[in-house]
Amino acid sequence: MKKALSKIYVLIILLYLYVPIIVLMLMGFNESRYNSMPFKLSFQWYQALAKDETLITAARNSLILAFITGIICVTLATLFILGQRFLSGRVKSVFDSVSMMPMSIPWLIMGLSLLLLIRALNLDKSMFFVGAGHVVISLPYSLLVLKARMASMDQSLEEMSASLGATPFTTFRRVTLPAIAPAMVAGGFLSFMISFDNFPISYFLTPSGISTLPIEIQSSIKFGFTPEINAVSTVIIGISLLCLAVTGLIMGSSLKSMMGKGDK
Amino acid sequence: MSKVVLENIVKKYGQNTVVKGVSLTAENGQLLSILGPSGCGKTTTLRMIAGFEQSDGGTISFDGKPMDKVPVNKRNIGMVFQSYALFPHMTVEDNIAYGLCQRNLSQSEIKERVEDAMKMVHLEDFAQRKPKALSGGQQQRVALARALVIKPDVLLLDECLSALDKKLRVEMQVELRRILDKTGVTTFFVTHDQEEAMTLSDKIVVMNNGVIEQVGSPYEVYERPKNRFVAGFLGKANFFEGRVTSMNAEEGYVVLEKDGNSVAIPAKDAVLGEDAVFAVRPEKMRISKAPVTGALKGVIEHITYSGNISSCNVECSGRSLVCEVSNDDMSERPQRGETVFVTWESAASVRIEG
Repeated sequence: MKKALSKIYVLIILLYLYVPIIVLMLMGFNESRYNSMPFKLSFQWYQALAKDETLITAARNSLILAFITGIICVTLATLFILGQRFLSGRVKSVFDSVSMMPMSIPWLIMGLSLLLLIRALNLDKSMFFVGAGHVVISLPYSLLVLKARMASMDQSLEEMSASLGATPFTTFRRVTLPAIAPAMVAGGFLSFMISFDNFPISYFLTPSGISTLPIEIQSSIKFGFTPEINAVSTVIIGISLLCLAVTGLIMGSSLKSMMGKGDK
Repeated sequence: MSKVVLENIVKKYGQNTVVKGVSLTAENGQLLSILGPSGCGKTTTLRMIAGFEQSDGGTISFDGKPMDKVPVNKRNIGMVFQSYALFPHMTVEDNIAYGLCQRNLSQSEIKERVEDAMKMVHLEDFAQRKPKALSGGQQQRVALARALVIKPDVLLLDECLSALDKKLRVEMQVELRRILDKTGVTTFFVTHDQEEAMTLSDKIVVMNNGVIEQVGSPYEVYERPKNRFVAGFLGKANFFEGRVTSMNAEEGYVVLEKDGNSVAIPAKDAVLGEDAVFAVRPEKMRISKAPVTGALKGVIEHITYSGNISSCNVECSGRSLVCEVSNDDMSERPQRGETVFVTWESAASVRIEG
């Protein structure tokens, strides 16, 4: 009885999480223009999407932006945690909290502040600043994952490598890097996703004439939208799940051990 | 293989001096244990020999060559950590080959030496396994093979047997000694386990609070401890102290007086009128139920039975003595509450520093 009950309420929580997404996905396959019943299977919105140059361009912009952001975030986060190891107690904890702060600042305010900064410096809005802004908000996520990995890594592995005659560079390449690689992939993926669906930062900083997918979706809703939006959302979800699955497959057990059960 | 000399090594962490002027010498091929309680500076000393830590004073030399400015990766040391620190993403074979790959050796030589090393530790059949798929004892042997395959000048073992269960630990002690005898490498072994230090080492260095208390063979440090700390840390000991008020070297007894109480104990090494402290090992004490001349009379307060021996706490006029008796004759088994007489050879009383 207890077991059945707990199954039911866990199911309810899961439904609460996923029902909106499922409805959105289903309506993408519905013929009705207004997301209304009865349901009639149709692929017309996907066909329309394939021809919609604006949406496709926006999606491509978003993908490129998120990809570059992810790469930069992982690089910076890796350099940060490697450098931070040589700091001592107090300085380290100050750096720790400061580096995580962008997470607690609302993106809206972050976007506004960046816009004001650009204005104050008398510069024009550009994709460069959009990218810079995305790095600011996405970096803490890469950092978070990498820090957790570094904290659980056995420091004596690197000492062992040195004692066996390896130079610091060889030690980094053959011992440290393989140990943190899963965290780099996971952290990069997280930063990628944060950047990919970010609206506020992009909204404030994108120059006119260029748009990202979230901005495009937002503006199409303003002018009355078609289930094309459902279709593009479904594609995005599909891509995310695929990325997640691929990451899981490549990193296999090491990712699992990092995510919780731990190898220590 | 090298002769390792430490001269007046000092290590400070901020205000805290953790190693306070340690000097010691390990002869070529010797197995030297650094033994002490946790926090005594033994691991720090080992880490300075390895080069992981810089000393704040003194010199370390291998075969006369000062090592203080030489980085870890140029010291040619073999290291085994308590955690083993096996590279988790590499196979057993790759782990062992790691050190050889850092030295300009041909592929065929690396292969040959790795195979020899795996044979030495009986792991030939596990070459392609990852460390996770090995038992604790096997991991330990991989760590040892990896450290030895590079033919290090010095082998450094940091509590490397502590993580194993007791039975396996004893097996590994024997195995370790066999391998080290075969390779003849100068070895430093850091441990807090006095039994382990005793069975493995040629020489034991007892450390406490950042200083060396005594250096000697296992026999010397056990049978002739220099002070209270060494006597108490290696095995158990009963202490007697006071001013020597009377003595007889021929009959072998000494009378000690302290705070108005005097006690006569079997001992020789004393000077009349001086203060003296004696340590007596529990297993050197004999218990008899019949009165013996010169024996201390007491009552058995507590008995701990541990198979081959029984440990008795005997209350002798305000003094609690620990005596270990062999359980060879079970008809004579001491009982709690019994009145007994405790005696020992005068030579078993070791005069120590106060």
